Amino acid sequence: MEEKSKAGFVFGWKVIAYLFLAGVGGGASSVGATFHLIHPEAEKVILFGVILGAPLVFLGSLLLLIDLGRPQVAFRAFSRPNKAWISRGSIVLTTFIILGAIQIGTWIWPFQGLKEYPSLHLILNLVNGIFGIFTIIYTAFLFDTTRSIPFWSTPILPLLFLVSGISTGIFALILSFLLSGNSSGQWISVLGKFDAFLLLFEALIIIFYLHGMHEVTAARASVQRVVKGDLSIPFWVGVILIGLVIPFLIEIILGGEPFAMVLASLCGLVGGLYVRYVVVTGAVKAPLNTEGVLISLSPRPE
Amino acid sequence: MARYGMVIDLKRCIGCDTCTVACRAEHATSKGILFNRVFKFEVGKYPHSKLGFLPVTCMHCGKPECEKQCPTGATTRRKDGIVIVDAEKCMGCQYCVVTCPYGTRYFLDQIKDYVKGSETPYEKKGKRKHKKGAVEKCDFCLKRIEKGLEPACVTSCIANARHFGDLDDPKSEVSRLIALRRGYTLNPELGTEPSVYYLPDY
Repeated sequence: MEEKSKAGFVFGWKVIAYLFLAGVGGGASSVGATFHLIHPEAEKVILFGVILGAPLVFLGSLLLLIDLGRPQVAFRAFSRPNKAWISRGSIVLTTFIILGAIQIGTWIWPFQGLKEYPSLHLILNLVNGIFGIFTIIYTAFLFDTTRSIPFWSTPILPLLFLVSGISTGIFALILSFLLSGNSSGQWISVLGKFDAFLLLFEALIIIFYLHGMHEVTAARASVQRVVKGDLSIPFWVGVILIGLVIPFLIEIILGGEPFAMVLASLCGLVGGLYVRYVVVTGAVKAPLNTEGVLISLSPRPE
Repeated sequence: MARYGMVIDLKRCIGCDTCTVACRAEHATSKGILFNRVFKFEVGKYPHSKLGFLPVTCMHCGKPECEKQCPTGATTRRKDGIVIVDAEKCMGCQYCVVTCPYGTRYFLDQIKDYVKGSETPYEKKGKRKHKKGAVEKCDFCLKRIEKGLEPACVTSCIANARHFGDLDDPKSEVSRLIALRRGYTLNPELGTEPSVYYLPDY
């Protein structure tokens, strides 16, 4: 028959780009808010955390919106926060964007009235940072509850998204710092060192994730696609080499060099995008199980 | 209140796809969308292998994953156990398509004629039933049930492999067949409690 099964995977580049932008925006915002609490003198970090946070997540949300089949009824997405992760996520995204917009509007442009209320600003930024964390991880919880796709159905995924999101957020902060001419800031070195630690942690999570999933029979097809199948180049080159090894080595060996840090940041951001690409595209639905006979629902992996 | 369910006898199914075609005709589904499919597969190893058939439609689960994940409330489970999609409420996020373990949900991204450029009067009429950009699926032929008829796939099955009825009534044909022939459901490990049962082919 000419008909092809459309019951496969529906997530395309827009959702992958959203996941990446939500990670970067949420990560930058939460790192900025953390600095606001422990290093309030790091004004530029706090500033760029706010400037990057809500606008990037807003851009990602627009991509989600145009990916909908019927965006004219998108307001219904808020209907079921008691059950559906997408509803919870819609509330999180909206709150995060509104809080970010309030901060930008009253602290940066067009008004600066918030400068007169530092305590209020700190609280606002901290709440924004917490919602930034929620923004990063809610999609991973959504994936985690998807039992039909064993590759996603693991509590390691929220941790991977969180660490990758914060790491890419830091890369975005460093890049913004350097491109705006603040190369002498001591904070680049502090952020770089912390990020090197995060990259190491992320590598460990990826090892545990793939190893753990390989032990799950239904998820083994996904792991094989990622490690030695059609996704092996995006994984080994995009995630591991460009996303982890190169930025880690640059941050350890050439930590203070502005040009090297620009390169490290660009590599780290590309790697973050590839993490989302591999996780989303690597999904393989569990086969139909009819009394022990397994029938594949999706195209067979290589 | 009845709890509707279906029993598919794999010993009788010959994989002819009459149910697939009858479903398509009943619902005038767009090209590329089949609310009912029949998987054909090989069981065992040569020389002791045989051809197996597995008709798959929406399982109308007792605990539907699609309903749980639907953010808009477009997917609901009626009191009679039928899981339906209200296309007016559906925003087309397609997460139900991803989360359905049985692959029986379809996103209508485009309404296509079966033969490009030659729309039949039946297709023209049928298009009114569908909403572009929404997700759609089998509804156990709800309109036929309301008229006292059985779903099209059940009526059309040439091998009498499909049975439809009330799962809560122990005297109904479906309940008796499930009990007598040890009916089972697909992927019971997921705990979705499907209302479509299969009778083994032995």
